[in-house]
Amino acid sequence: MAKTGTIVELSDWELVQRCQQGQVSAFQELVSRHYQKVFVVVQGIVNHREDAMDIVQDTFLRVYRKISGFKGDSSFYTWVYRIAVNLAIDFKRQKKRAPMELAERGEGYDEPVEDPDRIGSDPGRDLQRKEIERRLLAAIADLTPDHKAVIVLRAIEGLSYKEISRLLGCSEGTVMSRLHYARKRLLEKLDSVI
Amino acid sequence: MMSCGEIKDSLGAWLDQELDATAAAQVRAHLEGCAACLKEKERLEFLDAALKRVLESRSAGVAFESIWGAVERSIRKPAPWYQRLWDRIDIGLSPLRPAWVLSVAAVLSLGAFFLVRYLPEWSARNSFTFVESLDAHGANVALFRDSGSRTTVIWLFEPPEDQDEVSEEAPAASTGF
Amino acid sequence: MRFLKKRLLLVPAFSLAPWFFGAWLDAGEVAQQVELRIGSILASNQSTDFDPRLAKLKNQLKVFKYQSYKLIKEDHQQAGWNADANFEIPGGRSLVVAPQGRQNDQLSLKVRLLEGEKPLLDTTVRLKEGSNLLLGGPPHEGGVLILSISASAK
Repeated sequence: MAKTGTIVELSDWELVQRCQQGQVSAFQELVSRHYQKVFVVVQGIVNHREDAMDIVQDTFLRVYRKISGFKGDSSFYTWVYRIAVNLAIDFKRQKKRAPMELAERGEGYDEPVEDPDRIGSDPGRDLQRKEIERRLLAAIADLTPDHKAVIVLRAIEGLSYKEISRLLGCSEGTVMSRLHYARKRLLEKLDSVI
Repeated sequence: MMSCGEIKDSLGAWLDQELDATAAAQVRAHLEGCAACLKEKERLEFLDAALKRVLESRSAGVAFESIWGAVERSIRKPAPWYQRLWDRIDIGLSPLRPAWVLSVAAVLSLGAFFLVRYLPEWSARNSFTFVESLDAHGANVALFRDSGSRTTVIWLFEPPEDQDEVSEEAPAASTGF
Repeated sequence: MRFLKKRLLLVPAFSLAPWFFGAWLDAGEVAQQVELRIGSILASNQSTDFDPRLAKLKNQLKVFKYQSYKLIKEDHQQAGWNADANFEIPGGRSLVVAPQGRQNDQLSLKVRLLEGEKPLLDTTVRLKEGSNLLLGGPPHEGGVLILSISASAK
């Protein structure tokens, strides 16, 4: 990577160093690189779009405040994810919103985006797919924040058990058992449709 | 030789490529000859694919500006002094909250220990004397505590002058018991 | 992270150690002497004087509604466990105090107030080291006697 190149060509670590020197533009680039993935993970845990956006904003604000202390012991994205996941887990523990409550307030789950190529191609299969997704979302909502975190990080990010354990501050064995438990619970809820 | 139950328990880790070589080989060999475990593996693969699809599709379409706008406004604004103080002391150990609680409790416990042990006057001011037994040998006695000054008092009352027990030889008022 | 977690978890273990050590120390102190202090205070309405030597007890003495307080005698003695310490109290009275034991920073004392040979009061109390018990009521010289009883283990 060119050290004197434009910001978009710099590595995360080089951008962090520029942030530490006070360059807000470097931080903006870091946010633009990672916000989408952070949002996906956070929303997977909190299950609410507006809350997820607030948490993502809070995450990057904390990242900015603490960036002077970031020594590069882990990768930047691992560090950001750690903050984001912890905020999301804390949020879920504190709020404990029931899915029914959200629906009654009109804030419901975000409906899965329809794949335009598939709409109308096979109504029976579409119905089954929608039912699976509906049950899956309900089943995820029933998981504890800790179980949600591991399933989301594995399913979306494909992180290894080691990376997940570092992120969550637990052992690899704990990650394995939480994943096993979460998958088992989710499969139970999908029993009659798959 | 792993049983079907053990294989099914290991399938998730096998699909995640987290098993060691020996265990992975055992799972692979078992799947070649067990329809039930193979079906379970397919269910897990289906689940993982559905999870990824569902979670990613729900998160589509978040505009960068909706995130960056709020973040930029906050970082341009100078943080209040208490926020700067917290940022210094907060070392981001929130996953270790139980350990934090334990550690704070431990420090408080240590402080309380030294206070109680080495500042008895302080601790004495904060504790009542406990009266386990009281016998006034027939006389009227009162036990009372004042919470304000943390004082315990045992008060002996003079018996009435017409009390039968008062001896004729006893002085009129000075003792009266 | 795990290493740090283990280190943090060691902190509670180390900080609980003093309590166990303290309990061990307590156990070891059974054989030691107890210092007993008895203050004989005359409370009356004959004047409005407050003896400056009673400054530490001022808040406690406010519980009573007398106008003047005077320290007329102060004694201290050392006694072993279950041994009697005899104190002369004004007005021909005496106080016998016998330390019984120690439990959780509290000293257990048996206290007997006598007038001549006649027991007026028997009580067993538990008080924290440095704290006191007030025993009052016996009339004396136009007022009443209030005895302040305190103890500490040496």
